[in-house]
Amino acid sequence: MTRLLEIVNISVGNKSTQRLKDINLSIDEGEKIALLGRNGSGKSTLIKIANGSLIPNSGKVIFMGKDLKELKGRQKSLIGTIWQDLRLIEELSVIQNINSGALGRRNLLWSLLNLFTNLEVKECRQIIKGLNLYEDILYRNIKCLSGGQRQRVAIARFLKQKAKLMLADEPISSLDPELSNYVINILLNKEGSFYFDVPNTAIISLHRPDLINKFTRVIGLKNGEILFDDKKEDLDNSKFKLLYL
Amino acid sequence: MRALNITPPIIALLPSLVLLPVLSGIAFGLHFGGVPLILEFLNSALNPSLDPIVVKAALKALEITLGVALISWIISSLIGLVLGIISSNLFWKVIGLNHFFPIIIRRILAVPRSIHELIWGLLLLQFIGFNLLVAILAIIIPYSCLFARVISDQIDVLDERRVTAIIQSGSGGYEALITTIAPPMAPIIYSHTANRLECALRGATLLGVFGLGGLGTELQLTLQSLNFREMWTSIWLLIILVALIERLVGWLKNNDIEYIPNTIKLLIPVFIFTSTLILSLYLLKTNSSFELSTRELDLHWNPPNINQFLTSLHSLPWIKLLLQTLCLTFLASFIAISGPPLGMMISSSNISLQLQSIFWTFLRVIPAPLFALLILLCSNPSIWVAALALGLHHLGIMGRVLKENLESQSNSSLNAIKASGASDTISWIYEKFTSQSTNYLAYGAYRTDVILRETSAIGLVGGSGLGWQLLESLSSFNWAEIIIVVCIYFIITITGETLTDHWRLHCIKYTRKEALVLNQSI
Repeated sequence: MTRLLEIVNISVGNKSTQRLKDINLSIDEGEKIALLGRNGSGKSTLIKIANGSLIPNSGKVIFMGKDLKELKGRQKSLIGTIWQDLRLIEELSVIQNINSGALGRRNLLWSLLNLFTNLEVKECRQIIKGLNLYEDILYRNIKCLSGGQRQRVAIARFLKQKAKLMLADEPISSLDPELSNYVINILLNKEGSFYFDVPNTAIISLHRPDLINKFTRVIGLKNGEILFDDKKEDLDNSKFKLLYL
Repeated sequence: MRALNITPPIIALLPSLVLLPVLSGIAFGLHFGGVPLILEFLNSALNPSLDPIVVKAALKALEITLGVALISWIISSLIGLVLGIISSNLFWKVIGLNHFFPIIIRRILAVPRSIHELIWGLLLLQFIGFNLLVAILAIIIPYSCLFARVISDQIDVLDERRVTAIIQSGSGGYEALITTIAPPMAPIIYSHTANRLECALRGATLLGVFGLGGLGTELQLTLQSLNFREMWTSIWLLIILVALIERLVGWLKNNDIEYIPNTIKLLIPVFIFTSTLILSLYLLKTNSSFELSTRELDLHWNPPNINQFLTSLHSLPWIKLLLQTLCLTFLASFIAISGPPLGMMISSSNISLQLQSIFWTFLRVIPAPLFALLILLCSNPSIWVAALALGLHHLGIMGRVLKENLESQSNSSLNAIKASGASDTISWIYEKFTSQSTNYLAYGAYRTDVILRETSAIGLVGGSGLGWQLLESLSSFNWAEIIIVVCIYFIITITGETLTDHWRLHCIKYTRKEALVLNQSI
């Protein structure tokens, strides 16, 4: 298997408020990793470190053999994130938001045109359809959407990015159990979607231990440290108890 | 499926296309004889005159401008506050009188507000003669009415149920009004009043250009004698003063005064008012022949009769003048609105932003007619020159607004696009500018109103429009024409205000209504 991401000796924060403590992780292509832990355990921080939006106090992140800091636009677009706070652009329509996922692969002219007209409608329509949303939502303003619809638009934007690695920070927090199941299946490519390509490597933070059967590996974070990092088969309930104690 | 989906950031950027006809128009009238002068002007920026006599004269002129600005600022704020309260619907509702009163007061205040301070200056000049009082009154009259509008709009967006609740608890109307209005209005009044100081300074400088003394006159004289090094001494002093005011205002806005006891909080405005009044009177008394009385009152006023009005109406091409004024307004507005985002889009690094900020300050402090005269050094007079000069001056103001808005924006959600690998420029447009563009456009609509009024200051240079006609009529004391021009200005300004109000409301329909009002303060 090819090594996709390496997190080496990462620490974030100062001594009194250390959000991550000397974290080391290696992620191979094809792995589906569930990131578990209580609120404040460092899951979101780890995701931000992995996508380069947060600079650690020490340590480095290597993506496809290159230091993350040295990656240029196109290479950086291979790491896609579904943010916990979604980070959609409220002033734009759904289709413009979905297309903004592709900005890392496009030039300035395309980016300006996206603010002017509806681009790549067919592809956006397919993605929306695959996420169980109605087509007419494409032209609606983000502000008019419900929480669950917004969450799926954020996922659609991520899918439009065509990343190689998926980092998702609680991507199903606003969805009902049935829809959560469906969306997790899509993100882990278990639905065999013919609408779009989903990266086959994923790190997804969750508050749903019941869903870990869908993953290949589970990492438990507690107080900024890795409590366990096991294959799904090696996990037992005692570890979960320790994690949520 | 909709083919077009035009968004606010594109609406703000697209008007930059107007630069193509404007620059082409100027290029057609270009004469290269003036190019060395322009180069000399630019070169003098780094080499201003430091001759003690020049510096002393510039400082004296600056003190006069500052004196005029301070006294007119503080008095217009006070008058505006009172007028604002009595023109609000809430005030009349609480005291239980006819609700037509606020409408009537607002309509009356719209007249002086719609006339630019320069026109007030030129009109008062005819009555009072050369005296700094003209400049002071010319600023006080429109600024008081503008401040009144902002205050009354702000009061009327307050929740009146709070006042009703206090009244129902047995309190008197005035007491209820003070108790419920003062706390939410105090920070708004502080913020707006502070922002108006720079406007008053700009107004005082502009009036100086038309001979009313101070730094404006100094800039005009040095430009006319092509003494660019001396001109830059004054410009740099003005830039330093504006930067200091900006810092002071920023400091006052950002400092939390919650911990200060209420009695001291109440004394702060009294202290500011008294000290500003004393300081401004001292500056004016020591540096000029400032007289509060108008002993040399000399009226050139010959009321026109109906025949003169009819002759004036028939003799001048009013429609053409009106269209030229509107054309000038739109060209200048497009330059002013699209310039700052375009500049920031091209380079949004910290160093570049600092440089752009200095450039905007320069554009703001130089009155538009002086810009026009500078461009005229190497180009023939035309509407394009007037539009560029007016547009550049207001670009400086729009730049400051955009920078302040962007700085106050939370950075928490700014990383999504950048983290997906987009370039700095694209990330800036999508993550920073897009969220500010609606408010920015709403402010741009208000600025268009101001530009419309200010076409009166630039018309002469452009050789077109109502501004040019007004100055022509003033110089020949043709009161029939003057009154017609002022009336047309009033009508188009009020129409423009109504239209841009609708546009602003459309722009910010999803945001808080108060933003509409606050935006007008700069």
